[in-house]
Amino acid sequence: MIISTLDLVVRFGSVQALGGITLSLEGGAVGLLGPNGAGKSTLIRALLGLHVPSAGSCRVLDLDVATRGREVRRRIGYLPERDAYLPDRNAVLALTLLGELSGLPFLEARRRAHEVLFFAGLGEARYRKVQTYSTGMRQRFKLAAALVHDPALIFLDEPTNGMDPAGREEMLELVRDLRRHGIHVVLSSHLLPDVEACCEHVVVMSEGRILTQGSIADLTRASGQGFVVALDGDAEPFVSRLVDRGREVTTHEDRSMRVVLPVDATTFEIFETAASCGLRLRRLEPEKRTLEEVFLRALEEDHHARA
Amino acid sequence: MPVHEQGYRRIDERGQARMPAFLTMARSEIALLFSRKLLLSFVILPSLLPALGMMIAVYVVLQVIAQGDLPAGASTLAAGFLQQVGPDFYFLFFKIHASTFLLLWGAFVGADLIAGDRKTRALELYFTRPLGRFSYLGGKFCTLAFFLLLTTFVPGLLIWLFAVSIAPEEEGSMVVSQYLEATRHVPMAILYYSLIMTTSTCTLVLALSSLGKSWILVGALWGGYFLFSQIIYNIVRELTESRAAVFLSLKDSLLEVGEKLFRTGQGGDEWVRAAVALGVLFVLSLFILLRRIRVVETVS
Repeated sequence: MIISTLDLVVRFGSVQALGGITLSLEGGAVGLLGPNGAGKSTLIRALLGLHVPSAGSCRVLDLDVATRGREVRRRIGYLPERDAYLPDRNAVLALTLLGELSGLPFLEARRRAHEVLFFAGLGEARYRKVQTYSTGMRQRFKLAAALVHDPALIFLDEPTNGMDPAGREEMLELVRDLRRHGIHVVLSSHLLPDVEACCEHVVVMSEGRILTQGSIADLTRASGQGFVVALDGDAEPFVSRLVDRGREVTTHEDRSMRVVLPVDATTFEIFETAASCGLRLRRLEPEKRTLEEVFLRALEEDHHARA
Repeated sequence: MPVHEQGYRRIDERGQARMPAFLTMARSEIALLFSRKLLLSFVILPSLLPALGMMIAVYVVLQVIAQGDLPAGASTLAAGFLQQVGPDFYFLFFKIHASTFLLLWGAFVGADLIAGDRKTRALELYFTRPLGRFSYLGGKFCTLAFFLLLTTFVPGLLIWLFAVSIAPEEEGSMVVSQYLEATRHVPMAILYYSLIMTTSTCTLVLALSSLGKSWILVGALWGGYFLFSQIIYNIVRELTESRAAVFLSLKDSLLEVGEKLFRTGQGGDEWVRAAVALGVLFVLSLFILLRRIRVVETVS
């Protein structure tokens, strides 16, 4: 278990930033999804031991964050959302210091600094002062800083912020590469494609609470009653017959259609209707929800529940 | 095009850091400051010039004048000079430092130590490591303390050792043992005074540095406090014809305590007020630092 929290509450004065989060993550790449202000960054900082919980508890890598915060921070990496660097130092000096502060001996820290800067694609610029870097380079620098001590788990808070499309794709590829090397990743983002590109699991948050969680495959799996259908020929009679039977049919511009059957019906009804209209089925597959739909539906359900 | 120039490597055998975190921070900061040529040219080297000048003066007085074959009038003059190479002479070195170089060190080195980190949000990178705020503050303190001790304690002690080493032997007008007897308290006074001056200055400058994000603003704040407190004290002293309000001025408080340690000056118990004032400033500075440098400070 890389992360487990139990009724975790974080308050800032009268504002409740996290309201009783209970979470268990086995490992792998986990996406934290949510609109701005959902509490994603607060949750990460609580897991880093930077916020003292008002109630509840959290464990990271099987260590209690409240009592063994330093040991936790020795074993994890963190890429902060906002711009952050050590002033007046070039990237090698900065990462050497950060590596040493994470517990590495000087020579090993210096060696790692070079390695992770090359890994992050900053090899040529490693002797430049970090304040002269572009936004994309600073994001890469922060990734290198999070990796310099070879953590077992890395928290990435909006890692593609301010990056151009090519840079963003490269950053996501670096994250995928980390997974291939066995490093657990928690990626916080409000960009669904970023999470979809890197993560196997997702936790959807809003207003300091978890709305839904699970593997992306499970969450986007078909509900069982929605189907995507495409036919050869004029589909008008097919649609009419299904509507007459009380089925929900939505046609799309690409001549495919979405057919929703009742719980007790089977796909045989679709085959039968098509045959009776003299049409041949070109496509019939269970409808798959996109992560965006999962996300929006979770927000919508939460909104209705609160209303 | 490859995404990265080198693949990721896991660390097989993790070694242990040999140095405490605060010393690691201090070492890195000191190395960084030594690499700044402007700082080296305009603060570090000029801070050592008074010591060089005083060594030359010591040499002239103890070697050239004291051992020279001088006419009667000149011998009296030489005897007068010899009196000068006593505790007063050593304290003069610290007076020069307290008047000018503390101001420079605070403004051009100390002001940026924490303000710079706050400006670039480096605290967020530091405190997500296994680094506590006492280690962080200890590192910053040691950085400034290193330079202050390098330019006060080290040269102060070297001047005394130099004077002892070149004091004339029996055939000259001064005997080494006599000189040692007259200045035996000086090495400890140099040590204690350097430590008091360094501790007071470092904590106060760091506290001011934690209040802002611009070293220029913090430097101006430090300079303003340093000079303005002297002006206020001098006005009060002139009006009351008493040194009782010495606690108002950092520099004069330091000098008052220094006079007691070096056994010079006009006497009186004003040094107690000065020492209390320095103690209060120290506690107040620590309080500010612990309030400002918090882990949750990383959250806006």
